[in-house]
Amino acid sequence: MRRALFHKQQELAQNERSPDEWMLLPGLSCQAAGGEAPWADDIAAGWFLFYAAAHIMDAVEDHDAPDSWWEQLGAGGAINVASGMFFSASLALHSLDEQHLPASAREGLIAAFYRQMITMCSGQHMDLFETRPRLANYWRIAEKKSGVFFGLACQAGARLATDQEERLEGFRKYGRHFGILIQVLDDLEEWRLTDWETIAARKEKFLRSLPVVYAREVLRAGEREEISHSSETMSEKQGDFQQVLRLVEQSGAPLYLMTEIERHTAQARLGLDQGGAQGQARATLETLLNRLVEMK
Amino acid sequence: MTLAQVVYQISTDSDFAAKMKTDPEGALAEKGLQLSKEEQAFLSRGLTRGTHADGTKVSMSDVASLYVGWR
Repeated sequence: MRRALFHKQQELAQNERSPDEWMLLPGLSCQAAGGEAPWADDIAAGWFLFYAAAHIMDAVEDHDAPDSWWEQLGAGGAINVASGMFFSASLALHSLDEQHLPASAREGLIAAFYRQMITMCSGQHMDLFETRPRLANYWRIAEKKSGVFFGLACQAGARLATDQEERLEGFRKYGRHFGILIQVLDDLEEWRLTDWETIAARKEKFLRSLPVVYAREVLRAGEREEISHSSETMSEKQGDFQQVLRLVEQSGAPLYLMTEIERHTAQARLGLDQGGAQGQARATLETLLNRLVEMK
Repeated sequence: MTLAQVVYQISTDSDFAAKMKTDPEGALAEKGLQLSKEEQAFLSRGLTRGTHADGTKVSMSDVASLYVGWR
């Protein structure tokens, strides 16, 4: 794991882009709070294993195309691997070095991990069964699925360097908004697809994406009925799909998304200020954020 | 959800959109809407980014291709 963290730091320096770089968040937060990045290696290992396992479960639940490594294994095999990762993550947390954390704080941190995992599961459950969420619930789901978990990565890392609640809250805030941005940007994937048949096959994911959720929320009664009706038949009728696209555009969804991206980016930056993040590690945390919301 | 409602108004009511540029407080008050100063600043940046150089609005596919994201 330490070797993996080292390689990720090298890749980051070379401007390579990959979700694996997020495993640096606990170490960077620790360093930006005044500690040393390696103090957070066990937290980074545990956190990233939990993240990777949850990502697999999410992909299986959403019937996403499998990653190449589990194409042959199938969904059952992928779930087995994810289960192993959950337990490996627990082991990593329990091997947390006590040198930088008193035993009582260590127990609290491990308990916080498990609590946040439960929150993440409840977000996943909401996402699975609330197929046409209201806008407020969309944000609740994004918070539970991703915001809480990324907030934990940064807060837990910083905890190794400081026990000041106000500062820890700042690091949590940075991670929380970072995580929410990942969810929003993930939704844009559905809008990069161009042909109707591909989108129709991913209808459920498309209809849970932020632009559609927003449009359903703000459109006037008649148009809301229209988008609801066309949404249900868009897989069979291309004209209905075009109608959904038209209503989403008309509602101002592009402006809403860009404004929300601005909001969460600004909030994440404020978190770094509140946390008193400093030095090169702060600069790298800002770089990670900027890369996430970078525009062509 | 006020921000969402304001964005909808801007996108569907050209008079409201014009007034938001010159007198945002007045425009919001007329519609019974409220935005914090921070939200107004985010919206203003969103409007700048959400408009092409020729004044046309960006589309959803533009937004999707503009943001590099993490993939």
